[in-house]
Amino acid sequence: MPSISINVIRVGSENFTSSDLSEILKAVNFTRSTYASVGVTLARVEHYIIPLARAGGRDVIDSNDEAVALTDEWTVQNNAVDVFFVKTYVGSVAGLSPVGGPCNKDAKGMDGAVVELIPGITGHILAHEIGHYLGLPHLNNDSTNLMFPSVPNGGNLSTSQGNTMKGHCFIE
Amino acid sequence: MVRVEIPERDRQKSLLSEAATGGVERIPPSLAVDLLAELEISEQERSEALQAVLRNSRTESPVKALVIHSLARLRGSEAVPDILDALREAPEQDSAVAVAVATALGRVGGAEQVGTVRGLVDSTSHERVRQVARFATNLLAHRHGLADQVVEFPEAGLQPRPEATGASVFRSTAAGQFRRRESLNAARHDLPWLSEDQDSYEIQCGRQLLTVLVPRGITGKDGIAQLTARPLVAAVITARKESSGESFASLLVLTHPGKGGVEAMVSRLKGEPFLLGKGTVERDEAVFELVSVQAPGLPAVSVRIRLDRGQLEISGVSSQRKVAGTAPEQVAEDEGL
Repeated sequence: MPSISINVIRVGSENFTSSDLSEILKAVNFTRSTYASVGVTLARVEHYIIPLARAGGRDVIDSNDEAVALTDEWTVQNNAVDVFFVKTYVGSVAGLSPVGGPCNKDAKGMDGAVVELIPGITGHILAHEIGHYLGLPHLNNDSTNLMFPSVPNGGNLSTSQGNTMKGHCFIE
Repeated sequence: MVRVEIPERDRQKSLLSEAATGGVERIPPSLAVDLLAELEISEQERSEALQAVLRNSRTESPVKALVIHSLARLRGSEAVPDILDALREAPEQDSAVAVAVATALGRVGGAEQVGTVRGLVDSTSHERVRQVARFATNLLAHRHGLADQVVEFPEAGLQPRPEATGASVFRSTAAGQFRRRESLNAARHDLPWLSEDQDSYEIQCGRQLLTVLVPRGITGKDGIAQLTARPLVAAVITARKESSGESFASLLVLTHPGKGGVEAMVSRLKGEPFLLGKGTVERDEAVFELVSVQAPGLPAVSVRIRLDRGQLEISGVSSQRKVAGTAPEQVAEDEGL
């Protein structure tokens, strides 16, 4: 079955508690089951940390520009989506990712997803942003769909969306 | 991108104030602070609500930092007393508040705040605070043209000039009034000190549309002479996000007289250098050559800026590749807590 792998990267790792880690793992499981519904499995999930001293202030994302910079400055050289978890993303934005993200992580431009840890909805945010990375745009008129522009939402994916995701170069 | 939405009925001062201190699980504190700053109430009520969150002992330090930024954005230089109070009341080891205070003072403080910010550099061993405070000191000196302050750009290795083949080649054009206004509004969201008197130029660099705001008159004879006389914020650059059409302040261009010419730095708003270089000023013309620093995530870029007889020309080349990102440390699932 087509599969995608992700790199879970905690930014400002000392600020993450065991509850936060549980929230991340719940989010990964939500993403796994949501994607399974359209025939995409979540294969490898690898874990990484960026300690506060090396994060350069990027543990608090205060603009979308800064989120892009974070994904540029840090890279896991493998064929998995880099997902940067932060405790704070200022304002109403809870996640950011390019639509149709690159498989060449050395090319200019955003090459990862940034996800804010928000108890209860991190799963929606994670699945939504990886969905963008795998080529899914927003669905502005359907609040039951995962790709509705705000969370929480219904979290559903369509077969057609699954087919789009399966076409991404990171899908194995 | 995804946003957290809360119902209109939850957008009330009391609930948001409670949420800012972590008291409402469905509303993240960072969102609560943002919404408090945007509530449709009087400016005084908004300020007072934010000040109350700042003084609340239950408010976590990173949220206090966000409140400091919001106050600076809302009130500009009038927020300085509150910002200084926050510094006085914060525990010595509270680096989040110290970083926020330094950043805010750099952006909205008066020339008299140089001493306060410099004091932050000297009084802490926390490297991030020192780094931010050093940039804030620089920014204050450049914003206020403080010729008597020692200003230095960070030292950094430079990337080689990119080859033009396969790269994005760019050249500036004058921006129209609509784009100028859009860019100015976006820039003033984070940099409230920016005056109305700005000329604007556009650069399409690959998929990025940048707007360069320069003080009106800098391209004239007197403006060019200023480059050799004192530190300046020579330009503010905004970027326009292709997908949403939103513009935001992205880069600062700082110049100051140096050995053999005028030193120039293009940096992110938090001070990380992007381009470094020098300029020469002869008669009524200034020409700058800058290249990108060697840092993870940055593409190789070379830029030439020419100011002459009321005209500004920006041209350059930007590589399609960037310096490889740093590898984060791999850990077991439950490690690093």
